[in-house]
Amino acid sequence: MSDQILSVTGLGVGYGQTTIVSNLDLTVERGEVLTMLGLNGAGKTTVLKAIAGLLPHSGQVMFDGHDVSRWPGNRINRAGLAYVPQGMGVYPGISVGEHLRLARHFQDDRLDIQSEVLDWFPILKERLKQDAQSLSGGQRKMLSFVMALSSAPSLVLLDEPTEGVAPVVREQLVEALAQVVRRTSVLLVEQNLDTALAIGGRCHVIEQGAIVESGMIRDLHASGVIEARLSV
Amino acid sequence: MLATLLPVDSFTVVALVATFVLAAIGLHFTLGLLGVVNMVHGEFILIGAFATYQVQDSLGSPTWGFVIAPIVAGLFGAFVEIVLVRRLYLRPLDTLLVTFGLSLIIRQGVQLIYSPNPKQVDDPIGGSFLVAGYNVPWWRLTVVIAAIVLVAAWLLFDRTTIGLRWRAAVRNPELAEAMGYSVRTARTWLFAIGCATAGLAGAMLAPINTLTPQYGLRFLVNSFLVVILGKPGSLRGLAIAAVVLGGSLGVLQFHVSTVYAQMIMLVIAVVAARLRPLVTAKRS
Repeated sequence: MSDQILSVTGLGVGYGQTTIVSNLDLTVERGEVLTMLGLNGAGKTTVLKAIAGLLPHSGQVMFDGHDVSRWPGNRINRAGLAYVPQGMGVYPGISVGEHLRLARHFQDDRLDIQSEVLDWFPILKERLKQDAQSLSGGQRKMLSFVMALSSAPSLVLLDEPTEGVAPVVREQLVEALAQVVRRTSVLLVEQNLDTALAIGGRCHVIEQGAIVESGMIRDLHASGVIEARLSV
Repeated sequence: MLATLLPVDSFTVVALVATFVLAAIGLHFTLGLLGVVNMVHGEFILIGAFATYQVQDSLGSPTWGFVIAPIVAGLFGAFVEIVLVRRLYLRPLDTLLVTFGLSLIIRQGVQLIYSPNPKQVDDPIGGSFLVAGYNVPWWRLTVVIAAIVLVAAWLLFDRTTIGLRWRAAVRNPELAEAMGYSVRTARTWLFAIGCATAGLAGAMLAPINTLTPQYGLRFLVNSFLVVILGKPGSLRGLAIAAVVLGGSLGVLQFHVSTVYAQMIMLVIAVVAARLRPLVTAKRS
């Protein structure tokens, strides 16, 4: 019997009159990593935001046995779903240390988990008093990782975690990503095929808000399907 | 001795700066933090003042008004946020239109209930004392202390758990929501606190002003100037802008007529707004 942490049925999202995603189905098994690959504008981020409760949508989203389709984002997060946004999302004017307090919801019993994740990125420990906005792009990505994992979530949605960072930082982030996959279920959105291949697992290729290819990512890569779809 | 050395009554200038701070601090929350172009800010000052007048009219003393006024203004502010403003965040022109319309309705409502005739709230302490040759009325000193305490309290509150949550919610709403914090709740509280603070300002300033339905308007422009010049969202900036604008107006009023003093203060505001980015760039 399958043990699904996430089940999305008939997901539809639009902005005004424009439909971005229509009738999309996907599932993530507990402990699994599922990657969504697609070009810019394919609707990957929109899917993640809808699942995280940050965009109004049609269809059903079941998370950990609960129908969270109409829940606000903050309630979905407290139920155990963490979302790491695309870009360098931090709170301007708020220090790294304060970000970490916010991420663990001011609960000291989460300090151990947070310290463990923080050990992956020692540079952040030297920046605790610094305004998070003044961190480099790579360091902000690291901070996003730590924040998302501080609440020991049962599912992490990661939106292009290695986008726009230097190669050396990308390696560090991919290593961290491999650690995340060992700990919890992951729904990963990527454009970078190398990152997706390094993580492995199941994959959907998305075009214009619909799934056009599915399978194990290494099989799809070996058969040249992904390259053809993404014109790599 | 000091009075003979300085050409102006220093305490009057200090009291005017405190008035600027007190009147603008509510707008720090609604405009500075939430980005609502809050044209109804002056009417929350009006509500605070008339709530105090009503208490005086009913109980014979305005004292309880200073407690009731911020509660009334805060509760009404929460109602306004939930019913009107909530749907209009990030739509500045719409908030301007809606809050402007609401300000007209409140002003007309106050005029219908209390008539356009001027009203007076009694000074709850009364009397004054002399310091270095200057006459210091007790109530104006209370206003100065209230302004200092409010700024200090909110600067300290920023460092608390709730203060940090609310700062996060207004600075990156999507991230805060994704991290488990209700942005909607934070916004309602911040708007209500802004309105309650405006109501408190209205009550505190009522004994040193004459109340009419236009009472809130006299504070509106200066409050916007102080918040915008001080950099929206910065309480320290607000305090500095209040010192620059309130201080210059206070000094000028001793040398030229009030109309000229206000004109010169506006010129100072424009020059300061022009220079601020240069000073910030040089510092960074």
